[in-house]
Amino acid sequence: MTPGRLELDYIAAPHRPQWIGVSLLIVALVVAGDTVLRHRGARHELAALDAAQGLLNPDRKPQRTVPKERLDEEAKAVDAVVRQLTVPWAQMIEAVETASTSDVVLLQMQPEAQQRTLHMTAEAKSREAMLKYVRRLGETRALSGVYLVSHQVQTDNPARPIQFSVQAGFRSVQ
Amino acid sequence: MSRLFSDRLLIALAPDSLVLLRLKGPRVVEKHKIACDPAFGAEPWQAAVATLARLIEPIRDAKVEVTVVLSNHFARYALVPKSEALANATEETAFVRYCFSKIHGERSKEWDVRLSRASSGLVRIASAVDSKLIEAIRSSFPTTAKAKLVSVQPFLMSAFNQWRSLLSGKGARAWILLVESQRACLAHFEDNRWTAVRNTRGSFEGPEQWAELLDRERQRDGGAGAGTPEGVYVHAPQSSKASFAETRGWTFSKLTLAPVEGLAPADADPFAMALCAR
Repeated sequence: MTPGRLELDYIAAPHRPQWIGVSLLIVALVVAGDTVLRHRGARHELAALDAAQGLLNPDRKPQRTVPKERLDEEAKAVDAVVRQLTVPWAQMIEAVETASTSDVVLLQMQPEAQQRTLHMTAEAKSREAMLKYVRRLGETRALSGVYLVSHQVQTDNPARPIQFSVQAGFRSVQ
Repeated sequence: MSRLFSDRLLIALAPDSLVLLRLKGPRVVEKHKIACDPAFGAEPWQAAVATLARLIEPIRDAKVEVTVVLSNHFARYALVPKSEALANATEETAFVRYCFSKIHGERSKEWDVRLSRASSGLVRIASAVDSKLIEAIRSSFPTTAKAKLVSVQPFLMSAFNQWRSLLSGKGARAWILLVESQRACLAHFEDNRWTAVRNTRGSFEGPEQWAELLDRERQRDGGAGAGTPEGVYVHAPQSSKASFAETRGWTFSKLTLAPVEGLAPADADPFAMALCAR
């Protein structure tokens, strides 16, 4: 063991024994360590509480920003679904039934929700029956802008029927 | 080195010289040795203190911490027995004064005394310095100056603290001999306690004179330890050319200081006393 310092200073106070400083350092380290452990425990406890309440998750990654283009696409998709859901099926069917005659057979009916139009394909026994059917569709309340898109005589059929397409717009009927 | 840290001034005062070293961190950046006339003034320290005052004047406003080492010419030492009857510091000081007065008589009343901390031994070492010397040094550093006097210590204190690690170990014992011009301070340290201290005027230039002094001291101590080989640690920078050969059964070991940045080893001897307080 090294002998202690010789303290005969006429100005400076004698050096304090080193053990006082060492003891203080040890106490400070113990307190600091205890504080760190308490802090860690408190954080864990808080995380557990948050997880239990489903309010917060400290480990959750921050939400990523959604690009505007994607938002627009999603909005369009939502609109499309909404429009599809708002197609007035009942009124359209009623209008088509009202216009039907014994000389015309409806083959296909396809609404376009986005354009709010209705495409129909039908077959008529004669040209007159076809025109009368188109006129009768135009007179219904549910349809508007009814016009004949195309027509074609089925020559391979001995009765020579006429297959035709009609496009009409549909109104929102309250 | 940050500007927040002060430079250090190490000053050694002796009757015939003043030595000053300025350190920036561990590096010596300035060194001076100024000869003084010991015959100047009524007291042997007056020449050195007057030189100190002149030297310090221009750097009072520099941010420096000043340590002054006092030559053993300016200090007296005594072993003071530990007494359980002494209740406080005042009584201890009075007792130390009494011990010095028994050795030096009435003039010791004008001395400022210090007593070392209690060690494991029953004897403590005390020092005495002329109160006027301490006051004169203090007055060179007014409280308004930026240069701060942080320590005034007798050479034995500086030297012992510098080399005390050599005396470590249970049962370690050795003599310490500090040689200055016309002065030798001899102390014996054994098993973590002081057993003798002598501060003697005279010429002690080499091993022959050292051995003579040691023999005298051993005789004074009743011849205890005669025939037992004991080491003698010698610090004699002014006798650096002397042979440290074994003389009359005494083995001398030279006490040297570690090299200092900014000071060539060949130039270090005149500054040794100041460097002991590093």
